[in-house]
Amino acid sequence: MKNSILKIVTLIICIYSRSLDCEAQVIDNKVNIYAEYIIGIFHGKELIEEKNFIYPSLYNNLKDIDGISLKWLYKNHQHISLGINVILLQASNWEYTGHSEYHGSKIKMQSISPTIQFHSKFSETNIFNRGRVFIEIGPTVGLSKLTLSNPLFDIQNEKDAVSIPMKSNDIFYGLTGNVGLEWAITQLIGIYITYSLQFNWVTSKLYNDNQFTSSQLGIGIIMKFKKDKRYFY
Amino acid sequence: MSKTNWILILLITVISCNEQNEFEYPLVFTGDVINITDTSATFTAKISNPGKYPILESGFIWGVHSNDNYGIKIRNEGIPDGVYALQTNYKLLPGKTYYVRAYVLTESTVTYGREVTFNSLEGQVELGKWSLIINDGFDNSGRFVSVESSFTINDTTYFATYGSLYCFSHISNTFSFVLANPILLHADISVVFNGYVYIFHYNAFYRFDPKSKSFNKLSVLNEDVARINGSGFLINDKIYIGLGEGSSKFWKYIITEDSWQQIASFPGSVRRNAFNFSINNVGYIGGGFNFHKFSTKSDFWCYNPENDQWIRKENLPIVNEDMFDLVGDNTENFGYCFYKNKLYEYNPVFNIWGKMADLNNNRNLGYPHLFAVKDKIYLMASKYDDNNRYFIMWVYEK
Repeated sequence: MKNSILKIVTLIICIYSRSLDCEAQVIDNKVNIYAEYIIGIFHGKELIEEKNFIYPSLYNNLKDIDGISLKWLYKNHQHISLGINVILLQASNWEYTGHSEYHGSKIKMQSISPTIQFHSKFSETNIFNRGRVFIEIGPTVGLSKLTLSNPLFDIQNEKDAVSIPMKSNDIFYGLTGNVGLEWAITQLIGIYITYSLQFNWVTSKLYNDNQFTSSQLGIGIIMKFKKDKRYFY
Repeated sequence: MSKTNWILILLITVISCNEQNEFEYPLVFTGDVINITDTSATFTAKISNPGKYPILESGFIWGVHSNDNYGIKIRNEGIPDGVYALQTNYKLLPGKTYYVRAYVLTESTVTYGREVTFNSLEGQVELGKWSLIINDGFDNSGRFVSVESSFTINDTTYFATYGSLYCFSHISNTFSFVLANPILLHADISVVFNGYVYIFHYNAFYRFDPKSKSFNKLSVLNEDVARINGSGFLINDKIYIGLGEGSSKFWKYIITEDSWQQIASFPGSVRRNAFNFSINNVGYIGGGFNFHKFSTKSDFWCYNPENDQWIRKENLPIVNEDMFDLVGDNTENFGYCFYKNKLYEYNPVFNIWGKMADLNNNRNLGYPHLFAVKDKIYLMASKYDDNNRYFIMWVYEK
């Protein structure tokens, strides 16, 4: 994770240093592509309780989350952009005192989220010429791929060997909300940071979580396309 | 292509990536144990996947041994949908660690959930006490040396010794000689059924009528080897016998049909003079020794006639001893074995041996014999003083 952060920071510095001789004013644009590195945590109870049944949560005891996201947004109003966000995350380091069910297990999550972004209005002169504050919200659908390191069940068959389930692919769906700040470095490149909150529902045969909530912190770069140029003849 | 179409394509891609989790067999999670009191606890579970095959049975298997597939079962009535909870079906023993697994049974498989442990509350264990009831009983016949087997009818216990039968009245606490008969030589197995006594001698049972004091020979066991120092137990109307020197075969004698059938052979090593008893329609064999190898045994087995299966149970709690004087018997619910002033109680429900009150005795006991009458355990042994032979008897009760 440290290496990834270092690479991103180095990239941002290089891009910024290249842009030092650029013009002070940037031109508004219609299409932004965001690439982001994410770290996060799950929130929620460590134990699942369903009627009398009590069992350790899978998601809420995973201590490490990191991943990347790629977002495409089209500005179709001075305050609103629409687009789509693809997120790839992996979670690991399951810990819960006195239990070892999911020790060493890993989850890879792929999700897609149609996103609506409400942002500050572009300005030709002041801080909002380069800077932008935004809030995003969108529904999410995704796939959670669990790989167990230890079998959760013992299946005995008198005749044949039985393969114990060690993987589960489960669809989750929910809502994602982001708040963030972005800053244009050049006409083409910018940087941004976000804080995201995700709430998702999920069902699986290998764990008992019905939902999970995670918050994520992201840092990334923006590529700006389709300049909103107006020519006066 | 419009934006909507792009979104639809991406959604379809994500959904199509989902490899369907169609697990063939049932999956069950064992939940945490709740409501633990000094006598009971509640187990919880959840069936997350019913599988492709019909579920025949589900519930919990629990006990004091880890991963014990022969532990105590609690079954659901019917097939639960998802979460289920059941309370322990036997009173918890104090101060023990228990292991619980949920299970689901189909025709071909059994699925166990993770094993959950819990500790019962600490409590007092009833160790019982010994009382001396006969001291210095004079064996004037000189034959009352070693009791090979005993049986009790009403308030009288009979002892088969080398060719003789003695009886002890529990009312008057007196012994008397009954009869002498060669059939009583090597009378290692004797059981009472419908008021008659069935005594095994070499290769056949003899039915003894205590009223007429007569013996009647029954059908012969067709075997090359005469069974001496074998073991046996009564379950319903069947007597199961086997072992003895040189054979691990076991047989079933059906009293009501006067016929013999071979059953599953004893899976442990061959032995003689193993102690034996039956509790709740399950037979038990423990201890014994191999005369040729001069080795004693500390393993303990049970036989279930329902499935003609021998299962190894918890070893006897005696190790590194010669154990030639190891004796055992049972009350209605517990088995007992006695060795060198130490009494151990076997709990067949939990498959566990527990040490009971020691016998307060500083003499060398010769040929100890343990027998149970109702809830009491009796120990009889002989001793020599000044070249005279005496016998001595204690009773143990809780």
